[in-house]
Amino acid sequence: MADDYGQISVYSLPKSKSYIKPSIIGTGELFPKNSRLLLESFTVYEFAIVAYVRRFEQRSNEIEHSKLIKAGLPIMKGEQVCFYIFNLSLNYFFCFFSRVVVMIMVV
Amino acid sequence: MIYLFSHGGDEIDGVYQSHPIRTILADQIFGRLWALNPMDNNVYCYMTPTNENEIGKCLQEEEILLDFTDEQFEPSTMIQSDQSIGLIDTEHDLYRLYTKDDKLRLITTYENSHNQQWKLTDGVIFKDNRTLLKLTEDKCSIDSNDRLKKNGFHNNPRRCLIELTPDGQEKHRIQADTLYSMALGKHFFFR
Repeated sequence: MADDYGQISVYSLPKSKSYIKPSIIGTGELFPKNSRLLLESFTVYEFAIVAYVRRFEQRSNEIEHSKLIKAGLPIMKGEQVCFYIFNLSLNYFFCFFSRVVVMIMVV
Repeated sequence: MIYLFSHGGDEIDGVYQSHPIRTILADQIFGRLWALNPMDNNVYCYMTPTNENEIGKCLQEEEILLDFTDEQFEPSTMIQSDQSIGLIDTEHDLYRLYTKDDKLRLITTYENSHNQQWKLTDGVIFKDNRTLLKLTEDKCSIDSNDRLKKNGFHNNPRRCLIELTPDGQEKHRIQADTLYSMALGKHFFFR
């Protein structure tokens, strides 16, 4: 079992039909809780625990783009990140620019 | 990023992915890692790495198995049994069950069209292809005052289960108000 922040508990299951409850083998964390990572999906097999992990920012980026895709706006592969970064830089630029203008006006 | 950890929690390796993955499922019988790509709306797979040296190679080669680009079907949850794979589209309230063999034959479909207050959110598949689907109360479709009267508390949608026959017919409806997650073992059903 795992939560969104990569805290895991590993249990062993009884092999036959019985009323014996699963017993805990151990607990741990796949990544530190303050690392801004989210455990989106995980699966376990004989060799390893496979975990798909994303940053908070990537998730909001995807949600933003799925809205655009549903609105019928095409986004080419490889443009996704660039488009977002460009948008962000533009926002920062306007933010910075407006602050400079306000400061000049105040002065 | 896809990271692989040992069962003790130690990191083995990680591989960057250029697209998001909604669900990833290990399948030792077919030697595959099944993955659901919500951006390209498809199901694809990797070969399952069996040792450290294979991880990079296995996780860079994707084989697209089901492509829903031109369909009104956008699965967000994927479930599996040994021989079948199920896809749940929560937004359109649709469920599809496929065989896992090379042909990926469509076994059955189910649409939760009768009750708009409940959304399909999860499920488990039995080995005879019956499915237990989890439905979660859709808060948006219910007036908040009504919900307060019914439920007693605010942010806690109710859940219920529907048992589907292999041909997609509703067999039972089971009340499971506080069910959060469930898993099917070889001999047990956990909730």
